Amino acid sequence: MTNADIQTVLPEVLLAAYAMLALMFGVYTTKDKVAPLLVWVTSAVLAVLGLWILTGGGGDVAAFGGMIVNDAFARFAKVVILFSAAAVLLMSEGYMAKRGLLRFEYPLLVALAVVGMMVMVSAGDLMALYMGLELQSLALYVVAALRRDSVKSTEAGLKYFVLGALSSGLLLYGASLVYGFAGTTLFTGIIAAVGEGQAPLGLLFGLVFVIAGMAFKVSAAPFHMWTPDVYEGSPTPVTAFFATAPKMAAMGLFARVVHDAFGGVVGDWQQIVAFLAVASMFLGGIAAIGQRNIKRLMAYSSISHMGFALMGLAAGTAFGVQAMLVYMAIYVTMNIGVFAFILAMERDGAPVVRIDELGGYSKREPLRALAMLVLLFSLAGVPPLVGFFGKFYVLRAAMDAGMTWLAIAAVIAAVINAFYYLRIVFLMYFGEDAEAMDSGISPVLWGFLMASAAIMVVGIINLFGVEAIAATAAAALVN
Amino acid sequence: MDDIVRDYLPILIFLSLAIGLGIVLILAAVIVAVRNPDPEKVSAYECGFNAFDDARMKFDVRFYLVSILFIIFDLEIAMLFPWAVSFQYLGDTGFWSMMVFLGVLTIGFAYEWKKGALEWE
Amino acid sequence: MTFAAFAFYLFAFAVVAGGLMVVVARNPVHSVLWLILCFLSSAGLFVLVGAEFVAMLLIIVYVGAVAVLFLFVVMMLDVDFAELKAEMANYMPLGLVIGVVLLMQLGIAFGVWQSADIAESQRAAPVIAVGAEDVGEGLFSDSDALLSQTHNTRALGTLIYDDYLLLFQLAGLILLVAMIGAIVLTLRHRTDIKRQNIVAQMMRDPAKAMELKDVKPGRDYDRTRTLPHRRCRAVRDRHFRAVPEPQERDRHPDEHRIDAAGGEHQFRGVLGLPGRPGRAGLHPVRADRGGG
Repeated sequence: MTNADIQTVLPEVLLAAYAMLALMFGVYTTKDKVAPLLVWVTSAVLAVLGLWILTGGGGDVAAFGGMIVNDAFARFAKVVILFSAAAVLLMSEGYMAKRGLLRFEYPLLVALAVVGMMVMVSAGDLMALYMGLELQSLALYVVAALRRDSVKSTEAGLKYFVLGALSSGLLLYGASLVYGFAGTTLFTGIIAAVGEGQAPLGLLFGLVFVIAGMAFKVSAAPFHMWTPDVYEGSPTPVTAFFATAPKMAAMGLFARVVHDAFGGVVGDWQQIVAFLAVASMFLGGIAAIGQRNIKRLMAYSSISHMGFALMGLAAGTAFGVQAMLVYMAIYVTMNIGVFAFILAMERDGAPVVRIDELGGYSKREPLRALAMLVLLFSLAGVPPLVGFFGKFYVLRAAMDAGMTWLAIAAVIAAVINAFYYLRIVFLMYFGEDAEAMDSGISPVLWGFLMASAAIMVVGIINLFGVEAIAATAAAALVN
Repeated sequence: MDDIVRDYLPILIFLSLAIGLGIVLILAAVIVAVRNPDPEKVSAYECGFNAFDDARMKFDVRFYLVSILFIIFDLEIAMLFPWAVSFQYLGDTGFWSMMVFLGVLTIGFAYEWKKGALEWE
Repeated sequence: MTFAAFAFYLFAFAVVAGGLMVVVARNPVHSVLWLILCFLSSAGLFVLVGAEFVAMLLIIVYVGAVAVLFLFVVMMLDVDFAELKAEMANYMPLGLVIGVVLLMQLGIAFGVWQSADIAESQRAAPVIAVGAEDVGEGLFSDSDALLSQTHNTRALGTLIYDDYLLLFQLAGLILLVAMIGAIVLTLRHRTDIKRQNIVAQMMRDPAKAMELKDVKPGRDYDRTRTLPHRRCRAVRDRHFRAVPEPQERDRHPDEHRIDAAGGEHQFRGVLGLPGRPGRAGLHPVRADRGGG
């Protein structure tokens, strides 16, 4: 039994083993001098594991008595997580090294966080879910406060930790209520105990607490308040990391819990998720308008994007999950490009975060400005870029599920959201000339920026076949 | 429930004895002792300096590091209890899972040792 | 009322009263002490429901380690707790409202509580886990009997390391991350001090620690000239020995004391013992400074 089980979680085991080996290698050799090497090796390992899972295939395997479920859904989420984490790690090397933040623990903490995320998206048990979540969160708290001499970074780490602990508490409280009802923490047992139709009132409390705890992790309004401060305070590469892999993991977790454990009582969680979606879309969009700091702006942007992704989930159908997965994959790709751009925003070697400073950027760096324009249009959902298809998918999912009001609200929110993306574009092309920024950009950042922008354009042909994979994944999750 | 209470009765009796004795001693001091306070007697010091400032002061974070590391290993040890107790029922899996667990934490230990977290400079 | 019920109410009362006192106590140190009472009484409650391992864990981990850490923090952090409390008063009404709402929700949840029909059958994990071998050995008639007679810690043990192996290993990883995190965030290496290198100290060869050089008499060494030739050879040669640097030689005794900041305490200056003269020939060989 155990051998087969370990086979199922082999990628996680290998990644954890790699992290520990690299830790020993780092501490017993030259310590921080090997950090750049470890960053490259770690991201290679992540990418290789991603490729392996992508090409490996395999059916719907449950391991450890159902505690871990390795199905197409988990594999889809894992591939997105692994590739985005690898990309962000590569992007962060230059920035961190320049500011003396590149400690050799950084890539390893990221690797361990990724282990946690992989467990999260393939959890088949409330306890496994919680362990994965904590492993991920604990590593993220540390990397958020990595710039420990900066008050803002420390504050970011502390805020993230306190609110993260609160949300974990809510989640655990809800989980214990669910356990009390179902007598087991296994999702398969819970779904059998809950049955079809309407959940009993006691269980409903548990469900709501669990959803509230997960909403914290995906930073959906009204549980979003940590996001802007954490995004602003953390070192920018860490912010880029927060905006990509953990978001995918948390959404994957969300989908897994509501469908695997509470798939029988869709009506009960649908309204909560729909509310979270609407609140996030509007709050993120409206609050972002007032932001001048691009990191805070990206934080609100991520809140509203989570709203759109949750809308797919709110549909409660297999198509909804498929739409959510497609949306998340697109969102993560766009974010990698945008953060590659932000990481390259420097003046005299110091990072620049105010959007006013982008004035007249297009005249000095036409190519980079164009790439950013494509990415921002895509984030805003301007057709025919790929970002539009993501929004289109979730809208269709909501419409198909008969939630027309939700779709209409989403369209209005999308218009509000477009405003602040377009303002950045306006600043770059028509804004008052600001002082020139450094023109140098590391080849890695340039590559990711251009690749991401190119994907936004080329992808409109067939979305690189993501749809079909997402459909299989969604079918594995929603029966 | 009653079985368990019977099992732990000695501790319970011991506990009540300790609490009772403590209360009696405190009360005895309140009731029996002669108290004759005057301002000099109750002031902070009858001789010597007054306190210079608050007793609380910023402390080296190193103390917390040590106590956090202590808690981590405390938890590790706590995991060993059920393992030891149920050892005879555990198969190979149970044995090796504890070995892996200890291995992971040993890696952590080697890391912190080599890193110098255990040194008091 | 049975004795068990009496014990339950005693512990339950202590938990609630202790919890209340944690919040209302003026002195934060007292708060932590009340918290310890809370932990202890909860341990008592756990014992009453038969969860002995959890009870012991509460005492070892929470009372033994966490509460001590809390005490550390409140006693040593430079935080004005009176100010914090005053600020807390502002948020009190809101907090109370949230608390009451939560309490009411809990009341509702408790009032309508029901378990799923199949919950009882799903709960039975430990029976299966402990069962087979012991029944096989004929120790117990069936697995139910075993479950009722086996104690809590053993039942947990058979589950954690086997059925819940994955969670157990993840817990190990989480502890590892906590360890790395604590060190990454707080450990700073001071560069302004000299460290003891134990290996170098142990590998040191006494024979090579000092080197004697023959100096031709008649050179310009004032002190040596006044001394008789044989007796003061050591003193004279002192000038030429390759003396290992004593570690931390310029460390002031008060430097690392936390109360040295103002330099008020000058007892050493007043009462300070004169450094022991020591025998001249032995003095420089000692690698560590004074105090021996």
